[in-house]
Amino acid sequence: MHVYLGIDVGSVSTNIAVLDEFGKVIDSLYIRTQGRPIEAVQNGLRQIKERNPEIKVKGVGTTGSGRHLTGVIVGADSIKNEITAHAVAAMHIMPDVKTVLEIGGQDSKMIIIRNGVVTDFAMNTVCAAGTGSFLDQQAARLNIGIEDFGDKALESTTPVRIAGRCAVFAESDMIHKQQTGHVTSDIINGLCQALVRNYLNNIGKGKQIQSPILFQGGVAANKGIKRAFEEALGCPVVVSPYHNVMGAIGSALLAKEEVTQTKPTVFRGFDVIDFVYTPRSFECSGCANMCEVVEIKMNGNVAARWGDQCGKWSNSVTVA
Amino acid sequence: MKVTYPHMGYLNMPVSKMLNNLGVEVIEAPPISKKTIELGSLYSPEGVCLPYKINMGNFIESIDQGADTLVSVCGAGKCRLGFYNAVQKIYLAEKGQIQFYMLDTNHLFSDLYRFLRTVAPRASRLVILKNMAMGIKLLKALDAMNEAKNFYGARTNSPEQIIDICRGGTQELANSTYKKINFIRDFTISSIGAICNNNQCRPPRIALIGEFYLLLEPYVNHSIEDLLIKQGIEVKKFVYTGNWVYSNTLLQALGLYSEEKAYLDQAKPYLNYHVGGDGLKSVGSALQCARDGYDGIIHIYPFGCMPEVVAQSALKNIANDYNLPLLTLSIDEHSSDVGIITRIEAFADCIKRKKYQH
Repeated sequence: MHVYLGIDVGSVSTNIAVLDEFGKVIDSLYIRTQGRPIEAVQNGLRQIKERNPEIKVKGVGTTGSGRHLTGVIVGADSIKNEITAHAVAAMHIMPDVKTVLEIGGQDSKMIIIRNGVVTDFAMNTVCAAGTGSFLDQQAARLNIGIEDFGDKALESTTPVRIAGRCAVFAESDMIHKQQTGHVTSDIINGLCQALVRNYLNNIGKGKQIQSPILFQGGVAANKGIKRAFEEALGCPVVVSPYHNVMGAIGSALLAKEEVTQTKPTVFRGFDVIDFVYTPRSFECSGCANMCEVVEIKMNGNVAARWGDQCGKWSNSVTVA
Repeated sequence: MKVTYPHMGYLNMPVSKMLNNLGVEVIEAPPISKKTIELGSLYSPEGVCLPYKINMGNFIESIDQGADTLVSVCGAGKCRLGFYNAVQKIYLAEKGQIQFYMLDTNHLFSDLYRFLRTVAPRASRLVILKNMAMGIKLLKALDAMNEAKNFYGARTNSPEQIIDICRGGTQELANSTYKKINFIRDFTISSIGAICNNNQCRPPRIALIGEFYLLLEPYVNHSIEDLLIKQGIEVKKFVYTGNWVYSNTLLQALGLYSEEKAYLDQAKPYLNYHVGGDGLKSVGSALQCARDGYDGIIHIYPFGCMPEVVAQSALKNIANDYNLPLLTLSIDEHSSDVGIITRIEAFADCIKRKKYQH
């Protein structure tokens, strides 16, 4: 079977989506990056190959903060930022979508779509309060599995007021409320509402949030946040069935566009699972810019270098 | 006396030429690097804006190389820039005997003339005026080349080549004589034009607005113009050193031009007051672009820049009313290039897909 692969390497998770030629999702995978993107990608591809031994890859796309690195490792046809990938995927899943709320591991974004075109977007800048990592941390601190976090919030009847402006203050506020005797579920629900407030005030400021609204990203699994969004916006919020792998789906779709337009895929094949990749970085001393150059060796040969402004290192690589 | 000055885009080129021609010894700060920013931040108040910290870094690096006379601009009553020198003096006092010269942007012409008379007492008045004219001419040539790069770069398949030619031309100008400035400018622009292979196409246009320093110094704005050109997007900037110096020296001295009045008219009705800095100008330029049918606006400013934060609210209203995508980039010394590049790339994608699907 001919398929397109999309790989989304984010701060917290690495996701892979397998799409058939009509854009239908055949398989998807969500694993933790755990600070080692190369191993995560190899590991993910291994699982995909084991589960779908008969697939023939016609194109690969990468996205997420690790997109350039992953692009080199697997040989990608399309390397695109996560905003474009998420928008493409959202329109694929829900063609009449007008607003996409996306909350991932370390960033959150809002994408405004009108008539099938992205007209505006916003992404958190200096603050990561309210993203997946913070929820992860708080779940661990309260000794609740992150999977049960949302259900716990739904049990609450009277949410407590938590300051969601800043992750550090939110945490001390939560501790304070817990020490004064509030029920855990109420605190969690309060946190969900605080995060939604923070998101809408920061990212959604000045944006026209119209329904249909699609909620995606890892945090969309949290039912408490979904409910808080619905309460704050006063309209239903749809959680995409593939909410945690939307970036990967989008990049597979982008790869499909790229390959049909031009030439066959540059995918290195599933052999990359067993290749040895050794990254290293060094500071170039060629000029005052002192660029941090990253070099990736594949089976002992330099496969790519980047990070230099002048092209001295990145252009010197001949192995494609 | 060893004179030094902070970096800002290609402003160092005419300044060092001018001073060298007048026989003043110049110690130029090394180009801005991570080290500059680290040093500058170390000797600066934590919450101060990024341009201050970089200026400070430039000063310290050149003082370490022996400079003892610092010259910089200040704009009293506009924004924190007006107090840069006062605070910098205090922090730099421990570095030994240092002479500070300030050029007030409200009297740029007379201040610059007086400064040059002081540091080059033996040069005749005519020579000084000639050198000031040379500086302005050089800056305007650099501006023209940059504009050509932005225009043709978006209309070619090989924008890297155009960026290289522009860079080469800039270096040539640094070593040229007064007479050759126009020749090099024209030659560079025609070589850039020759590479453009699709003169007829109409690429998406973006207005790049915001704070002066961030717009002009490619090290801190991560060469945003080149990034956009490479995405096939034409960038229009409204702040150019040459034009600014020209209108604030000659024209203003002759009473032909008042910068503030021009922007006040332009920004109505979205912003009706001076908010300091370049806030009014940002709003005025954005509104003009919105009316001219631009495809998007990028607003870039240092984190904590009060005038631009005020301007931002007006910009959001403009973006809303004219249905224009607006990307706001607030930059400080901690900004990573990855985050900025991702946003610029996504913004370019958004604009291109919108334009070509219609």
